[in-house]
Amino acid sequence: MKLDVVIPAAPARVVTGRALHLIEPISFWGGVSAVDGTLIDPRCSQRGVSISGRVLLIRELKGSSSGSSVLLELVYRGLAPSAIVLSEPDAILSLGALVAREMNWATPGIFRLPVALQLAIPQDRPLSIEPNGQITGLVQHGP
Amino acid sequence: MKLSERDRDMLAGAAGEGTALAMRILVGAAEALGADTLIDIESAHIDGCLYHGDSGTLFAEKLVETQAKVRVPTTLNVGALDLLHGLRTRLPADSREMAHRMMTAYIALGCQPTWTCAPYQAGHRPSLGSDVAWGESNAVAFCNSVLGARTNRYGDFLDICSAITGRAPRTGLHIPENRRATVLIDASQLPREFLADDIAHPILGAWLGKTVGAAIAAFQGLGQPSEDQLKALGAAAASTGAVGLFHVIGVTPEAPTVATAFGEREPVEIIRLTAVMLTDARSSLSTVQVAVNDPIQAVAIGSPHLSAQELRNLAAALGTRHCQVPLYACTSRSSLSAVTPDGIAQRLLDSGVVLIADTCIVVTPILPEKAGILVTNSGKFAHYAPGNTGYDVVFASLQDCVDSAVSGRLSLREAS
Repeated sequence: MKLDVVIPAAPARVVTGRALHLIEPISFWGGVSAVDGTLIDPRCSQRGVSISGRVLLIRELKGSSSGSSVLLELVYRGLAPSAIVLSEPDAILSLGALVAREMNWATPGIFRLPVALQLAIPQDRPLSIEPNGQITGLVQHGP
Repeated sequence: MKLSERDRDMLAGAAGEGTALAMRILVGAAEALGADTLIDIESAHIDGCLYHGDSGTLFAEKLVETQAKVRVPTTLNVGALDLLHGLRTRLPADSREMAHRMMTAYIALGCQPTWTCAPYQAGHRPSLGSDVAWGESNAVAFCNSVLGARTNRYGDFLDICSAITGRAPRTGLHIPENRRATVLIDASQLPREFLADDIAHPILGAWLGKTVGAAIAAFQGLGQPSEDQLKALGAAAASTGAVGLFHVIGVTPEAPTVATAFGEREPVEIIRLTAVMLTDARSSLSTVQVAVNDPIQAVAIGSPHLSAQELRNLAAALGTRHCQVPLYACTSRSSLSAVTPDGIAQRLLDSGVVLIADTCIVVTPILPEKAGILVTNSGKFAHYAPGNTGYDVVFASLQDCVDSAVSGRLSLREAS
């Protein structure tokens, strides 16, 4: 499977992390703690889950345009997801990554994949994404 | 992507390193959005001046250090501090310092210190059909819908980069074709007494955001909502969904008729709205069941910031009574100074209202730390307060909010 690269990870590298599907639409502002990287919206069924170091699969973004700041702060604190996979063009999270890159902080890759294809990736599956967006096999579990 | 010669000059540093940095971010975002080119903008509203952590301050200061300046009239959204009332926030000293440095940096970039999420009620009203770059989801919805000026939902940082370069990606709602409605919402069956109630518009907005997401809807049969009611509707819609534009037939400027709002095409979908369909949206605005007359801990209104008229309405609802629990009224310094000469501001203070300017209770810790039950008439507060403050919320009308603050116990007219 190959993802469209929206913003390459910086510095350029293979990014790894376990898949985390966000089931409900998310606003990073009000939805994610900039202090510890966990989901905080009490209406969210995944409240308490940490997005740090995960390959975050987002079906739908909603709400506040302050999401960029929350992502930038997560990057600055070393708590960002390792990659973010969006289903549609959206500038809010991309901006957080673009600014992080200008600040010379290690920046997650932002990718795009239609929802139907996102659903083919099992929850919690360890993933490895090449700089060109190629998922290098859906990494297998176990020995 | 096609850049103009001036864009390329700015990228190459002809207007200084700060402008080049802003242009790099702008072009990166434009590419992420799939835009083919950039357009000129006439004004900007900056949401990026709110402190979310040290990273945003460091970025703003980097822009100042590289001598960037805004090129178009630019207003500022709320900061994390109430600069008029001794800051108000419980932020720790180091964060307070960083939040203050951030606000100072945005002023150094040439922005106007309006510090409000309702810049459109603080004198910033771009003209119909003009292109602008606005952040803050409620301001975006108002700007597009009520003013008919064209903006996308600019995330933090893209707003300031657009203001510095005077340019924005030509995409989304800047393109006239993308502004036509596709979903017709027939509200003519809703009871008129419901629409006359001030709880109606936040509920309609919460329903709209959840139901249509980013699609563009046009309401028919909504009567003649006031500007403050449209503000409440848009703010709630932009909290529960990615609503950047909605039309109200016969009210908003791009929807004089159904045919115009839909660009002479048939609606893709028609929703005949009934009161029953709004039940879920209404209950979603409260996170806890509280019995009438049970104690509550706080009341908050003013998201978006209260207009001068809304401050007057608050004073009228209070009369000569005094609040037993804190009633936080969030507003802009502009609205506050508008009602100061006629004594409204003083009357509110005398009633024990906690006036908050320049910021609000969901963006910075102002509410007492020991969380409890918060009563609000704001769809946006109802949506964000639980996650951001830890308080449970009960959604109620302005009069019920005020009566609850006066008695310290939940008041709900219809339940009584």
